[in-house]
Amino acid sequence: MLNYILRRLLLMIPVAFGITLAVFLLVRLIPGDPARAILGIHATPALMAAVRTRLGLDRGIGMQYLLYIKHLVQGDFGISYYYGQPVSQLVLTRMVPTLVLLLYSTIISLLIAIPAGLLAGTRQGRGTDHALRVVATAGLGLPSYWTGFILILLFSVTFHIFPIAGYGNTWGARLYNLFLPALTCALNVAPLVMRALRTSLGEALGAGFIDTARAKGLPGNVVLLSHALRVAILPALNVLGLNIGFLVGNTVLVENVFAVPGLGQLMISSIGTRDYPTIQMVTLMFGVIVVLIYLVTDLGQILLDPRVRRSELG
Amino acid sequence: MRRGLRARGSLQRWPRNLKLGVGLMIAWILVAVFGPMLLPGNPTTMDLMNSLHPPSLAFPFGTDNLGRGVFTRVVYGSRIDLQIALFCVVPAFVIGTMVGMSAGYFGGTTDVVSMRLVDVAVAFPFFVAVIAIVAVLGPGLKNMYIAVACVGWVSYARITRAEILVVKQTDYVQAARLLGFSDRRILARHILPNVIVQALVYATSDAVLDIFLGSSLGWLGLGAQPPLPEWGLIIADGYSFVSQAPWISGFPGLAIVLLAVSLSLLGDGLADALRPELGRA
Repeated sequence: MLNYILRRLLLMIPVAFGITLAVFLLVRLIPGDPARAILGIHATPALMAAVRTRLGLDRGIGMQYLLYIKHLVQGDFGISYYYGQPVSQLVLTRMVPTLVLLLYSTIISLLIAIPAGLLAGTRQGRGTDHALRVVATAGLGLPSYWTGFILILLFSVTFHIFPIAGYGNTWGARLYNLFLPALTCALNVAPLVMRALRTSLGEALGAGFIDTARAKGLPGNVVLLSHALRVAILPALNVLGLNIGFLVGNTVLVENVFAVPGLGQLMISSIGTRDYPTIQMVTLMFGVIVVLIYLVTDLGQILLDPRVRRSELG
Repeated sequence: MRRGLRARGSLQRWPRNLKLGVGLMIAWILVAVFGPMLLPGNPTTMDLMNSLHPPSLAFPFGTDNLGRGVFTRVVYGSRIDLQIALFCVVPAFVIGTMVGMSAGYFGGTTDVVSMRLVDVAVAFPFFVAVIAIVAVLGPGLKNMYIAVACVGWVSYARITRAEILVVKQTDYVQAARLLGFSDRRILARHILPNVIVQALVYATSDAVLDIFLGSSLGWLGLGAQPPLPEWGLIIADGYSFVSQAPWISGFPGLAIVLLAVSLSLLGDGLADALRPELGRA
């Protein structure tokens, strides 16, 4: 196991290299003089010179990248042009709400998808199944910034149950405030997980070990929940892991709908203020989050599924 | 694709979701092409006397704060949002299948280099990557198309490559090789028709994603710019009037959902028709 983890971590080195290179090249895409674009038309020559030195613009592109990596390794991600504080500090504080939102929406989508998938999977081809599949197709078509609007209209404006926006100071308040944002994200992801669970449950229910369990005289619910679901949940969880990029992308929108002070909101507001170091690091952090979640998904598969364990660990 | 559909027989034998999806997409295209010609109004002319009108016979979807008919704007917007789907999917599709084909067929350095690129590109969530690129290039639809072309090809490349690795081993490809056909001819005439199917099915779900992306960027102020009646942009306009005039944001959102569902049905139907053994499970 330890060996496998080490091997996976080693494989991540080229990816990490590539991610930093991509983020580095991002700012080089700025049309014209980056220093001018960053500082605006009223910048003093001294300030422009300082930015050029910082970015290493007077050197070759290879040197510039090495300089960038050197700064990263030292934990120096630059100073936010807008907030005037180190970007790393800024991004770390903004990361917490995003991670909470991600976890929260994952939990909610599982709470929706597992019962729905169980229902559809056990009643395949019947009315309930068709109805759930129609709902799932519609759910996949919901743009999250619009779903958020509808939920606000329903739960905040009409019924005053949940707040329109905000984050909160205590964990209780945060869970309460983040419920609608998390639900909005979950509505996009739950249909994917539900569909996967429906398919895998159909396969699992046709397997020999289910017949054996039934023949032993186990009650139907026990067979379904502790035998079939245990096998069928794994592909569904894998689908969840594979779509984490989609979920993360959605949090960017949802944070902006509900004014959650997370990375996504920081990213969009930084675009408005042309705060390039912040945009760079937020993009980098999103990449890191996704790569780490892929890793956790893979390790989870190995821990949970003996078949995968055998084929991966040999 | 043509062959697969023909093998499935006549129109009556198409799966139900495919018929529905094709029908709805034809309807959307008709709306986009002819809708604006048939409507009397103009999507950008303001009429402050008629602002924030609730839905009525004269204004089926109501009016916005500047008195523009939301229905007219949504119909005109269908042109923009269908254009977004097309201009995002086509370059990604062409680049991706070409990269995937050469990586899968030739292997070697081409394969290693392109797959490392893919590894890096999938590390960034699609939305985040596009937003980041648009952030430096500047807002607007054109820059969004560039950004999508930069990152969107990845999925097509992966799908095509995986398919080619299988098809490459088949007898008919080996036979074509033995006959001394050029790589180009084998790729274009023997391999492409067989691997393009998966990419086409993926393209429909990719189109849904691109419409989400385009309208989201419009909503964020990074995509289509006012006064264009892009759906996401209309939704953004209506945000300030959530309690007084929910119809402004409500109807364009419904249009997005309906277009997304139409495309999903088309994609699911295509998948069912082309892979009968996988469909109707």
